[in-house]
This record gives sequence, C-alpha cells and structure tokens, in this order.
Amino acid sequence: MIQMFHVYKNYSPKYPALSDISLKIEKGEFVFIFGPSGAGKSTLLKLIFGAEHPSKGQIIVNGMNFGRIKKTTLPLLRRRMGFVFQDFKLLNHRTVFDNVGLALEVVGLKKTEIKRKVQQVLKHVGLLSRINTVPLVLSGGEQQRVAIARAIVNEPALLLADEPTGNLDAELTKEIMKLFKIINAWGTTIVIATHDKNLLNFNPTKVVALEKGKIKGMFVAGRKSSEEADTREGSIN
Amino acid sequence: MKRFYYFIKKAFQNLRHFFLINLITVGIISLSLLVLSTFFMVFLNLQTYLNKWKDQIQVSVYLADSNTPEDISLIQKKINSFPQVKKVSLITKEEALSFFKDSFPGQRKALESLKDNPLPASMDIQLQDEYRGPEELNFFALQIKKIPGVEDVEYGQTWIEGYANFLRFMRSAALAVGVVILLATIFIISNTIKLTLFARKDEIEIMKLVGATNFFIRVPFFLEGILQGLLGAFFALIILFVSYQLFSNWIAQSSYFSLKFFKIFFLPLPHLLLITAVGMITGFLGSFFSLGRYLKYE
Repeated sequence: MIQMFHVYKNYSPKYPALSDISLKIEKGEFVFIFGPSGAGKSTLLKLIFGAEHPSKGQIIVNGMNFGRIKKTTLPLLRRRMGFVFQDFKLLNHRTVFDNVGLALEVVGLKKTEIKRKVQQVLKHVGLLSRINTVPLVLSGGEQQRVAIARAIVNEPALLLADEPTGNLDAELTKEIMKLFKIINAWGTTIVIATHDKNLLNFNPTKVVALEKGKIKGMFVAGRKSSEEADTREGSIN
Repeated sequence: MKRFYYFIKKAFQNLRHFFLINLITVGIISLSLLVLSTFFMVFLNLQTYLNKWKDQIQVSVYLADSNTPEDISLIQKKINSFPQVKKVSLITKEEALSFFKDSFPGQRKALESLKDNPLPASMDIQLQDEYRGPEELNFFALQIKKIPGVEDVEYGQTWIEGYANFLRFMRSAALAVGVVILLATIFIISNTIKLTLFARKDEIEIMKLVGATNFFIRVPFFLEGILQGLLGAFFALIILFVSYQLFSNWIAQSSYFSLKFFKIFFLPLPHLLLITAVGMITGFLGSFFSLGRYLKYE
C-alpha cells in the first residue's frame, strides 16, 4: 500500500524534517506513527498524501510513484484516500450532510446517490440524527465522527489521521479508536500519527517510532520488525 | 451542461452562505462603480454641452455695398460650392436693419435720422462638422476673403482658439482622471475579493483534501466573482439613476434662472453596459488572481 525508500525532507538545510525514512505498510494494516511533537509525524503524512514532496527518495502509494505523478493526477489519487485531522477541518457554516457529501460531490456523484451514501455512513458513525445540524453545535467527539464519515464515505483504501484524538478526552478517544478499528476491519488501511502513548494499547499491527525526523524503532504486532530499515534495539514507549 | 448547472447553483449557494461578507463585497464594488459611472456621466454631459457650442460656430461674410443682387447670388453660389459649407443664409441690408431695430429699440431714432442704411448685407455660413477646427476655419476664411465683392470675414477667431484649447485640455484631463478611477476601481474590487477568499481559504483547503480538481474549485469562485461584479454594477447604476432623477427635478424647480435651461441626460445604454462589463470582468479577474495563490498549496 505504502512504500518509502530513503526519503528525506528538508524545509531548511540545517534542520531536516525527515531523514532516511524507509518503511512499508501493507494493505489492511493498522499503523501508528508515534513520536513527540516536532518528530516529523505530520510531515510524513503530508508526504503520503502528496501535500509535500520529498527532497530525496521515493514514495509509492497505491502503486503510484508520488515523485513522478502529474499535478493533475493528485486529486484523483486523493479520492482513494481519507483524511482526519486533530482540528476536524469541517465547514462550520454547512450542515453535516453537506460536509460529508462534499467528498462525493467532487467525484461527480448524482444527488440521490450522495444522499444514500451519506445517510449510510452517518448511520455507521452514529450521527444520522444530526444530519441537518451544523458542526458548531456538535461536541468535539461528534465533530470528529463527522470528519471520519467524510473520510470514509468514498470507501477509500487508505485512511490517514493526524492526531485525531488530540482534542478529545479519554472516553471520546476510546470511542473514536473503536470506530477506526471497525473501519480497519472492513479492509481499509489506517495510518494514525500520534504522540499519545495510550493509543498504542489499541492493538496496532505496526508502530513506527519517530524522533527528530528519524525512525527510532519499529514495532510489528508480536515482534520487532527485522526486514524494515532502521531497527535499533529498544522498546517503544 | 449538468456540471455547469451545478457550478451556477454552487455559486448562488455560496453567495447565500456567506451573505454578510458578500454583501460587504457587493457594497464596495457598488461604491467604486458609482464613482466611475458618476464621472462618466459628468464627463459625457460636459462634452455634449461643449459640442453644442461647437454647433453654433459659424462664419459671417460681410458684402460690399457696391454688389448688385446678381453679384450677391453669384457670391452665394461660389460659397456654396466649397466642400466645407453645410448651409448659407443671406441677410440683406434691409433684413440687417430691421433685425438691428428689433434688437436695439432705443437706437431706432438715431437710425431713422440717417439717410442711408449703414449696415452691410451679409451671409451666415454653417460648416460641416469636420471643418470647425481653428486651422480649418482660418483656411476657409482666407479663401472666402479672396472672392470679389466680399469685404470682410469674421468667425470669432480668438474665442474659437481658446475653446479648442479648453476642449483639448478637458479631454486629456478626463482621460487621465478616468484611467486613475478605473484602476482604483479594479484595485479595490480585486482586493475586496481577495479578502473574501482569505476568509474561505479553509474551504479551499478542505476541497483539495477530498480530491477536488483545481477546475472544480475555481469555477464556482469565478462565477461568484462575476455575480458580485454584476450585482455591484446593478446597485451602482440604480443609485446613480435615482440620484440623477432627484438632481434633474431639483434643477427643473430651481429658482436660479440659468439652471433651468441646464438639462442633464443619463448615461446611454452602451455606457451602462460598459460599466456592468467593468464590474463583471473585474469580479472575474479579482477571483482569478486571488485564487491562484490559494490553489498553489497542495
């Protein structure tokens, strides 16, 4: 699903955001990119969805080399991915229906089809009753569920989340993580960037620990990764 | 076609959703276009008045008393044969006298005491429009003077030169002021739209995230810009028309004698369309240039 070969990203030559990142994420995996603030987690996600380009190295997502794709192809690739952010990134003046439907509108789906799919996905995230409200009157957990609904309504192969529980309390975090687990069970690959150690309890298939732009260690469910890059000894926590 | 309908719908939806910010934008566009159209109207009215003066330019030819009626009709024929001439009207000695008596009744007695009529016969010549410039008039007058039997030619030389200079100055000044106002209008409108877009940069970012193409994001914004320009022009022209009506009524009822004869006219259709076009094109360009910046980010 995602392959990175010796990827570097420099915003300034003195302080590289990422150095020599090599990793492989398989289809259907549930992966955490874990590390403190400033470790380069968000940059890594940005590289995966093409918002940033690597300074050096190769990135292959869904079989496409991101270093070589045309600018016009990027939107088409994004339609096969979903995104969830800490600050939800919802349109606050539009209804829940409009927010979720936006992802289907850009694909050019018919109105009736959009309605059917939005209702279906809102049912899954438990927000069907809130379909006509605006995000501002919803709680943080509900807003994040709307964002998740928008991310999965296109049935993407890959879901990327950047600190999705950063604004939520422990109870809501549990709720959102459960939802991610369900989505993963449907076959969607999930990559979550987080600094929250507690999330690691939600049985990831892989944890990539980042520190100062480098992979500090990699943990694969049940064992330490051996085939992937920089696997130094030491546990991740 | 279906897509286009979608984009139009989206543009109207956005106008409604961002009602306040759009109201402010349309208001600012209206004000800028109001300044521009007011300037247009004042200039056009002034120009029409100046052109009316030009219509009144005529050449007076004074004939020698020695001319017989046959000579006079020969002179008239000769003058008529010039390509510059539009119309020639003859004023005989008698007509000149009676006109003078009517105009200055106080002098009637003094005139009657004279044995002979002292006023010469004359011809008033109206010229074709293109021959009313100072140089053309001068050239024409010299040629007429050469005709035997013509004593003097007069056309208010100094006045006409002054008038021509004034007209030239007016035109350059109007052009300069017009260009400055037009540029200011474009600047204000495009910056206002830039601010509107700044307020909506999150929306653009989200649309990019969910896989919208630049085309898909752009078109509703362009249509919105064009609609803002159209609405701005519409309100500007309505305000201008209402002010024009009020001003015209005030002039008509004015107690100032000279103002009563001063009639202003509203902007003609081509100018109304031009102002609407300026609004729409600037609205479009404003969103075009401002959007480019936000679309650069991926």
